Parts: sequence; C-alpha cells; structure tokens
Amino acid sequence: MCHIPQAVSDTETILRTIFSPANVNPNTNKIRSNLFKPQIAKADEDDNTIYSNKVSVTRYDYVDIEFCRSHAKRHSSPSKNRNYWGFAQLIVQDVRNFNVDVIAKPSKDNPAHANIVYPFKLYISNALKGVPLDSKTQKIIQDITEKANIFIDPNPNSPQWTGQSF
Amino acid sequence: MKTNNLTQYFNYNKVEDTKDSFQFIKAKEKHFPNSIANSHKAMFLASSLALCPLINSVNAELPPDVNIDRVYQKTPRCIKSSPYIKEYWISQIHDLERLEDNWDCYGAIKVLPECINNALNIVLSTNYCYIKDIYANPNGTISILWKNSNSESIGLEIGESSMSYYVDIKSGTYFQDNQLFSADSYSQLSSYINLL
Repeated sequence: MCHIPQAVSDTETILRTIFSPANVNPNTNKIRSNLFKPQIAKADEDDNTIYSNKVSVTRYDYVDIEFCRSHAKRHSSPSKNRNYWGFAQLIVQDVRNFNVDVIAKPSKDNPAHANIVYPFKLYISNALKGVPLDSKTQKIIQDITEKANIFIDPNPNSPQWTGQSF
Repeated sequence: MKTNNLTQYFNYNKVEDTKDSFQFIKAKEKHFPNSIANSHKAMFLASSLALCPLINSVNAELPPDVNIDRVYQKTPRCIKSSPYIKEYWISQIHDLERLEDNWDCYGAIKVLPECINNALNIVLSTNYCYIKDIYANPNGTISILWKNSNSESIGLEIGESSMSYYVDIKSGTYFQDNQLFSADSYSQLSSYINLL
C-alpha cells in the first residue's frame, strides 16, 4: 500500500460497501439512501457531545479492489442475511458540491479509511432514536445516493473481482 | 393470480396484519369519519376474505422463527399492478419489525414499534400508487419514497412522534420538518403526493 496523504483531493474516488438486503431495493436493484445516512442514534466518534454525522468510506485511489472486498466481507454476516453485495462509487467533488466534506480518518484495519461528514450537528441532550433527519439533509443524502455509481460483485465468493471494472 | 405466487410472498402472520389494518380503519373512521374512503374499507374486506384460506395454509407451512430472509423481498409481478399492492406495502412495513440491531452491518438500531405504526397509518391514509420503496433507517425510523415516471419524488422519514419530508417536483422543491401525526398533516402530505 502506497503513502496516503491526509488531504483528500476533489478528484479522488471513494467507495462505500453495499450490504443486501438492507441497502438495496430488490425491485429496481438501486441503492437506498439509508446507505449514506449516518448513525445518528449514536455518539460521534470524534466528538462525544454530538450524534454521529459521518459515514465511512474507503479512498479507492490508495488501495485495490481485493482489499476493499476482503474488508467488506469481514463486516458482513451471511448467517444473518447481511450480505456483502458490491460498492457505491463516488468522486469526492460530487460529494463536496453538496457542502458535504470528505475527511481522512485512517484506522488500524483500513489505512485508506475516510468519513463523509455532513454539515449538521445534533447535540446529545435528548434521545435521538426515532427522530427523523431534517428534510434538507434527507434531500442531500438522496442526491448523493443518486450520484453514486453502483458496482455489483457478481461473485462475492470468488477470490478475485469478476465484476465491471472501476 | 396464481396461488403459488401469493403464498410465496405473503408472510405467515398476514391474517393478523390484515385484521389489524382493518381495526385501524375502524378506529380512524370513528375519529375522522371522512378521512377513510369506503373503497379502502371494501378493498381490505375483500382482500382479507380472499386471502384468508390461502394464508392459513402458508401459516401451517412456515417455521415460527422467521428472520431477515423474509424482509425486503422483491415485489412479485402479479402484485405490482393489482389491488393487493397496498397489502404488499403493509406487509413490507410489518417485516421491518423483524430487523435486529446492526441490520445494516454499520451499527443500526432496530426499527422502533411506534415508527411501524406511524408508517402503517400513512400508507393507509395516503395514495400508495407511486410508492417506490419502503425501508428502515439506522436510527430506527422508516422512509417511504414516492417517485413518478418524470423523476418527481417525495422522500418521507417517519419517526416516533413526527415526520419530515421533501417534495421535489417540477414547480420546485419544498421542505416540511417536524410534522406531527394528525389528520391535517396527512392531508397536506396527500395533497403533495397527488401532484405526482
């Protein structure tokens, strides 16, 4: 793996793992916007006074597809029907056009990890379980979802990626 | 409609679901006599009667422990353009109750029971023709997406005590936040949906 700069360039490609059936509409094979919704019922990983406004992605320019696949499979639970299904691909500029940032956040198991950071801050004062996001943020998330290119892994058990090239 | 297709896609507690839906209509009629069309009631009655024998046979075949395998199934072609589409979406909402914590592999929480009830009320009270998808969100809420062939859409997120939605139609984009569940808010949402 090559050196990974901290600054995330506008031209970089980022990937988010898609799990089925949670993130995929079975009728259209299109992804659902819940793929890009932060875990707002949980505290933020960087600031424990607010609820999470981030979703994880991998900076694809610094890893290869097999790294992404093995990372995705480690997080799937086929026994509970949470299956790795493929990847949603975005260009960073497409995300930033919505005033949403992408910030590097390397982790132990993924040095190319980054976060999509939404521009809202919900302070931890009341429980946010079951509280809908505001409609403007919902629309931004839907627009980002529709910008994403979908790459289905046709054979997740294959040792090599056999799908469409990125 | 073929029996096999129906038995494959309606879940094991559909009889109970249909009964609950009807009870909801009865209760709502009591409080909002003009809010539920008689046609809805007739449709539920007819479909309940038509499906009961069929569903009882499904009930006997299915194991009691039904997991996420049954959640988010593809809409069968025979259902898509039939009067059963409303029951299909109702069963999809009930299926969301079965999601466990971390259903999305990213740490999501279970769908909250009150959100299920609110989503059912909305599907029963509004035009369901352009519903494209119903799904869970990581914070226990439920989303409904309406979209027509002109790519005009409404995205609704249903919470425990309020809902918020955007309306993206040719004449512009509109945003509604913190809408409490009431006859007025259902009526306003319906008027937007009818623009699609």
